[in-house]
Amino acid sequence: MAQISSLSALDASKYDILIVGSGPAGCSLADRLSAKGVSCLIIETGLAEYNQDIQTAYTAMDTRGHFGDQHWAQHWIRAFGGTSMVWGGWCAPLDEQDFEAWPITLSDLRPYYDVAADILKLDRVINSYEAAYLPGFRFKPFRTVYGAMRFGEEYQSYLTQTGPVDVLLGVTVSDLQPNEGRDRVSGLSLHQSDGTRREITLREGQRLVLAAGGMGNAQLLLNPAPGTETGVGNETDQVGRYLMEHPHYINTAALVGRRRLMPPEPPANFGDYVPNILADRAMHAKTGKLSVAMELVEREINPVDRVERYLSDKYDGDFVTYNINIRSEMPASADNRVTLAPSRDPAGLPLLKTMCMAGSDTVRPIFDILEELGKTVLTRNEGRVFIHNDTLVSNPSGGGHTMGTTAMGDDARISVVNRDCRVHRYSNLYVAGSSVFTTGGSANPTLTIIALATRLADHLTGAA
Amino acid sequence: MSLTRREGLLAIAGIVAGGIVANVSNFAVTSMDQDASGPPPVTAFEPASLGMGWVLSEADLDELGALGTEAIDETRFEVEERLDYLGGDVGAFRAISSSDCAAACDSDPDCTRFTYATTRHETASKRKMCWLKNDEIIDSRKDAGAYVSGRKR
Repeated sequence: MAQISSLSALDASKYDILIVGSGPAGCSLADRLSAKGVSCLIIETGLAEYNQDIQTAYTAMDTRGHFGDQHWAQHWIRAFGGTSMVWGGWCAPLDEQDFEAWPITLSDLRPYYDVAADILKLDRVINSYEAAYLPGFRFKPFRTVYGAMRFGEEYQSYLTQTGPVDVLLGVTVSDLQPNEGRDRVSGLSLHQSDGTRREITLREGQRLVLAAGGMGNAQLLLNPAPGTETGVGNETDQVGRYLMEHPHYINTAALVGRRRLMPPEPPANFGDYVPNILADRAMHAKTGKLSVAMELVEREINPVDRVERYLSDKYDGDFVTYNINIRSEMPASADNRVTLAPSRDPAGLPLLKTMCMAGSDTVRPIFDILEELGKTVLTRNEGRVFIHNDTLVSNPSGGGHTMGTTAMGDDARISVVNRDCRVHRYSNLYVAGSSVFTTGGSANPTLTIIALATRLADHLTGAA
Repeated sequence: MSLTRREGLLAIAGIVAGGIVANVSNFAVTSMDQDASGPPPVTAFEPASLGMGWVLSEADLDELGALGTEAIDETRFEVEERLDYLGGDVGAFRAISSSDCAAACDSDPDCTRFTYATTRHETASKRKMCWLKNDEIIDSRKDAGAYVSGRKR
């Protein structure tokens, strides 16, 4: 087999692992599991090709707060390959300090960042390279890939070739049924686009991994199975909370001054990159413990700005000018959340409602860090910083990064999955994807999604 | 004329209720006239030097002088508030004031007009943008509240 023709042809009992979703998380997980001979079934709502009707019907959403009406839905792609279909291809590992609130550390994930780089066919140097910059700051570029990996194309063989991974397309998991003691998932309901339904019973030893995206994972755990009042894993009302994005404030500041402000160049094997400045550990602590990525975009001097002309004269040709694009971290707030809306998708799953605000606790650290950067270059007489206030306090754009909705933690009262990405209480239910991020840092999430998914694969096979 | 402190602040913020306050400086003088024992009236002063978004030192400000406080040179430009020229762009920059935008146009031989977006513009990223333009503009829009434009005389 490879692609299973229809729900009626499915023999679910023969797979070790059932994976819900076929994006970077689901495919990387299947990749690593199948390499160890573990048999997997990937269940995907979408088809091999993107279909706008499916997309609209399954991701319609009521949105409140920042980032705009269509934002979350547009970054929850229902097709084979998932949201990699719209991935921009930026990669960076999270920093050590980004893991402070997580139950795991960067060193737990470091080997898997290298696995993730291998999967993406990128040099592992992207996970280790950084360089000194001004005091208080570091240079840590984003690896950028033009023509980013589309997992649906990369893993086409799962559809066409017989192997340990089978794929069921056009089928949606519509609910998860808990056993009486609510310590394992006993079964799930599947819905095919032609209206066919089937109930699947999970056999002993079989495990289920939700890899349905930041929205989809929350949706499946929020939805109570018929005859129950609480979704599986939502016993402490934590599912859907801590929704985070990376608020983007484009062209919101400028750094001008001496040529020594030019960022260093990463080694050639790093590949294409975007130059990026981050606080060092001490500065991070001083400015509110949120990661603020400052992309430097080289530009011409602004001839209209008297300050730039003055500095250009002052530094007499030893002069460079950059715009700064901010990509920042939101604090994990229980009030930024996904809840169920009163309408349903074609499979009968409740559609979602989102509430997400980037508040003063997001924006103030950005002001603080830009002021610190400004003071640093001023004190050293190396340059000056301009802060465009109104851009920084306006509605930010986002990266399409849906994080935090099934947060990882040791304490089940304030999290959904444990350090092994297993849903608290449930022995056979796991989550892969950015929904498990305890905090979001400022790095684009895909590399971390793949790292966590491959770490989960090793956990499931007893290797980690 | 008698005003509360709150009304005075509103006037300074440009929120003038029912025409009570026509001119902020008149208000200041009027208030002081009411209290004969108060400080002497302000005669002349230098406008404050502020960074206008830049993180600057006092020495910078001494050298730069007051930022963003000069009026557009109306001997060089015919200035119209609430006017937006469309098209004909020869450059787009952030400018800390409309006078800087005008001065940049003045010193650019390709520039015959400019449009500046004030801090009232509804789109935050456009606030303080300065567009240098030539006579090949395709249209102009009046009653465009957040803009000021000028044409070289």
